[in-house]
Amino acid sequence: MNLLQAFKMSFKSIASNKVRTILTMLGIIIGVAAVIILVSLVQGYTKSMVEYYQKQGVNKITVSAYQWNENSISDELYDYCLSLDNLVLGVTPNSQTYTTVKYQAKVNSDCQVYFGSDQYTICNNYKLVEGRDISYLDVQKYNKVCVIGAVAKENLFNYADALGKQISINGVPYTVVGVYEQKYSAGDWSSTYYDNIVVVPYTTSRYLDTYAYSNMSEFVVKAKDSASTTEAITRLTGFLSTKIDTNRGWFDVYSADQYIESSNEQTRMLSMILGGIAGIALLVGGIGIMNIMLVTVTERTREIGIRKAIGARRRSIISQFLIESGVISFVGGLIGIGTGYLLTLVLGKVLFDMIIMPSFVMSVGAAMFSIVIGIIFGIYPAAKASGLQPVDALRSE
Amino acid sequence: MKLIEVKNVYKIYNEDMENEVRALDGVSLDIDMGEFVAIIGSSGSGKSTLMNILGCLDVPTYGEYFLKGTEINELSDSELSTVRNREIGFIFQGFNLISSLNALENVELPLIYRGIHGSRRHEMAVEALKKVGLEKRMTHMPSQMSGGQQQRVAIARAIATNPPIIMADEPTGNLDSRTGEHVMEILSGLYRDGSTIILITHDNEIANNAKRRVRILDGKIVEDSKKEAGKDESASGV
Ligand SMILES: Nc1ncnc2c1ncn2[C@@H]1O[C@H](COP(=O)(O)OP(=O)(O)OP(=O)(O)O)[C@@H](O)[C@H]1O
Ligand SMILES: [Mg+2]
Repeated sequence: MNLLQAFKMSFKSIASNKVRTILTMLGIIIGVAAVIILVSLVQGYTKSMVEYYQKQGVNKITVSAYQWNENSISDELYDYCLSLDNLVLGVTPNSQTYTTVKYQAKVNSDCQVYFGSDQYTICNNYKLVEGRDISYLDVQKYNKVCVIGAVAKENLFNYADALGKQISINGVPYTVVGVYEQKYSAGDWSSTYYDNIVVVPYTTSRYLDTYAYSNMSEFVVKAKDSASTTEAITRLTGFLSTKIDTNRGWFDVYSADQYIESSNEQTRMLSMILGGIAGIALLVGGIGIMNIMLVTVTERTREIGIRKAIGARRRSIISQFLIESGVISFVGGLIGIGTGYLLTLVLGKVLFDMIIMPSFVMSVGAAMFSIVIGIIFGIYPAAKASGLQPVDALRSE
Repeated sequence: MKLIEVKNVYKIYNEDMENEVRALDGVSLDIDMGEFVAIIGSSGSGKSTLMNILGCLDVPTYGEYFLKGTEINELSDSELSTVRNREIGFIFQGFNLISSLNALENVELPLIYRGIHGSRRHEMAVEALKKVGLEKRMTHMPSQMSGGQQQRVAIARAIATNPPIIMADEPTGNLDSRTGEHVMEILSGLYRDGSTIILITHDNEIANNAKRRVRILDGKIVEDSKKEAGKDESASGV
């Protein structure tokens, strides 16, 4: 019997045993799709977390320092950071106030006003699209200038030019000198927080919020790289412990990088757990395949006995069954991959608003696993029964 | 040359155990080309066991079996398949059709394993189905046919490759007497065309269609019409 015949025979058997074919395929499809979906969604989630933190800025150190009845440490901290110029790219206060921002009759509600230094932009990972940053001189001279975020600009000016215009912050006129690029995509909840902002020289906070002015306690230090971050944290901690009497105040130095680390750790755990669940799904699918194959063993053993009795060689029988289960498993695997990709795309969009593409290697790996199981349990009855004397195979009930 | 030569064959199940069964207990039998032999005996006497060994579907526990001078015990599994395909057509006690294939496909099966392709295979299968009067039932599945029709498909499958030997195990067992007669007519026709027919039955009347009757009881041959005829001949010769 040649290969073409073996193929024809296999397809006939596949077509005439529809229930068996469909159940076997279903086991493979569910297993493969489950693995792809679960693993991809975890990867997507990890990616979205990492992207979120990266937008926030890496190598960013947050410093909180406060001392009862003392002037803010901001100037001293600023000078100290300048001395660390081999480690540090910038430093800025990061206090904010919540107040009315207007341009002519237009009111921008929900706008955050930040008190920053000339290094606010670099510290908080913004980019200018127009105009200039706040300058060192602006800080020194209490200049009433500001840089505004993309959403703030849109709310106040729409598409009109903003540079040089005067806006009113809590009734105090400020001149717009720069506009930031949009940081988060429109509609993203982060955008309402981080793009609807106005940054003013921190020294001018005394016009706006006297409490904030004298109690400036939140700072951001931007380090050069992750090694510098660790080093700078040590130095800053040392510096602050000499400056702040912990009986009368407190300080804290930390980096969001540590959060990225720990959140990576969490998502690794999550992927392992979900990967485990997916593995179980694959196994259950595999057991389903085995089950349906073993249920049909008796029926097939008789069939094999008949085929042998009328002259089939062992090899022809095994190749027929191999092709049969190979085709079923392969098609099942392909449908499983297709279903997995489709559902991953849909769920990724719905859950994370992201286009998640499953990993190719993983998809192929999951499909291979099911195909191998399908083939092993497909040829199992053939290998066993074709070795029997025909009369024994025929007798099987 | 003898077509079939069985020498002192035993088939013993569960040997040396309490439930030992000697299905064949020292059987010797010769069959010539072109004979029509009926093997008769009551239920459980060992008829099917003997046919399975003659048809190379089973191996004897002890003893030798030569088919066309070849010692069957010495053949490999795939050589045995070839022998079954080329030399023997089986008609089983149960019809043993493949339920997922229609009548024509069932009949084509031995031709496929013979390596016959395309239109020639189709013609040969149709020819065989015509001989059993089923040319109008070719696309029916086994489950859509009566017992007699299924048995005739089984006959068509057995004769499709024009094998020199036809072995039929109770071919009329499940059929009414009229259909049974029809099946016997087909077998007689094959005999007239030169095939060697080995027919197994417990029915003496059916056995009367055969030219030679071998009676088996508890795994032993107790009566062989040919040998008795031979004895008569030698007796008259003296
Ligand atoms: N696999 C087996 N294991 C044990 N005993 C067996 C086996 N196959 C057959 N036998 C025994 O061998 C004996 C002969 O069986 P066989 O099938 O040849 O009888 P038979 O003459 O064909 O009977 P029937 O007319 O009912 O078909 C019986 O006693 C049966 O129980
Ligand atoms: Mg029997």
